Amino acid sequence: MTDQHDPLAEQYQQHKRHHPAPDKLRRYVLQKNSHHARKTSSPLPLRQWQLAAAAVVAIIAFIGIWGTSITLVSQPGMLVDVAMVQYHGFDTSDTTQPDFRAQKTRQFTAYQQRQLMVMSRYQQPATVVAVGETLILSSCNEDIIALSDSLVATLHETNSMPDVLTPGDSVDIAFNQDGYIIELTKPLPTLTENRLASCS
Amino acid sequence: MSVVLSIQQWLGLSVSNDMLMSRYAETGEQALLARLYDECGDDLYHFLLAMTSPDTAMDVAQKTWVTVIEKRHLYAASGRFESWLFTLGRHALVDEIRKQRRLTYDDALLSRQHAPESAIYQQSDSFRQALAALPFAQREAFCLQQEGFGLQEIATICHSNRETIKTRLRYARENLKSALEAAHD
Repeated sequence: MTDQHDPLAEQYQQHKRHHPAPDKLRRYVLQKNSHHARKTSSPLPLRQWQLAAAAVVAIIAFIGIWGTSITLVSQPGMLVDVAMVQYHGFDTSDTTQPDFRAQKTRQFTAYQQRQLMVMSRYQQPATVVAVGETLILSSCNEDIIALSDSLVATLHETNSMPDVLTPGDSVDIAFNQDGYIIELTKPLPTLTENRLASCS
Repeated sequence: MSVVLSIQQWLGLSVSNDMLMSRYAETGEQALLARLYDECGDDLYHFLLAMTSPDTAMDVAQKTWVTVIEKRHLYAASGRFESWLFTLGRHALVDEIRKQRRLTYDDALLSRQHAPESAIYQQSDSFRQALAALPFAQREAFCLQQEGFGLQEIATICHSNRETIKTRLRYARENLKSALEAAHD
């Protein structure tokens, strides 16, 4: 862009040659660069290391809980004079876990229970046959359905079943897509007749 | 310094400042910055000196190069390094002048601002006097043109449009010529 035959340009360049940048400016710039390089290449501060370590511990703990989470089982067990018997409950055979692990497990179970509620697929009306250590229900098609005390406790904890049930009460059993019981509800009074009708 | 740049230098091939800056943005290598400074340090300093006093020019040049160091990751490889450098320099200059309350925030007044404190103005040389007597906007446009920037680049650096820059350059040259002729007479 600068024209060598342009007198203004020539005078400008001449002036520029007479006024170079001071040497101390160059030294300052390079010194700043060295300082900046040292600053940015310093190792992670202690605080960041602590946060990173905490994150790793949390991930390991989560994986541990996930791996040992109890599983829902549904197994044939009770011998009653009916065509089919279902038993619903948790496998709580592992009692060696420390308290905190058991607590985490319960929390996870509650979470899982809530998750399963979302995935509810179908309901079945039933009648309470017996309450006690094992809650026994009789479905419309005369299936006897037994709920373990741990499952009942979990359903209570998650407000997924009525607080009080007595023999003869009608309930609706909600199953998820895998056939696990996820909720017991008392049917609305106005719908009782329809429900009974559907049973018959 | 990177192998590619070293080989290019060894073969006598010219390495553009843009390439140097891109490489510096990645590595922060001292030698690359030194080369960039050697290529552009005097240009930037002289531009700033033409716009303000020597002390302020020194301060602003320092700030500009520190910005290059600290914000090197923001350098866009698609643009000319010199454009980026002078844009940073002009920003720092305007900030500094505003801090010193030697310039109002009004761009219209900014365009008419002279540089009475400029060292150039204090010299007896007629060219220096004529340059220092130019309004701020005309002077910066003229100086940027002399530093090798095209119309569009000057417009970008000055946050203005091409036609305005064209006009400022025309007035700057006319004013300089008139002042120099008057000085010779």
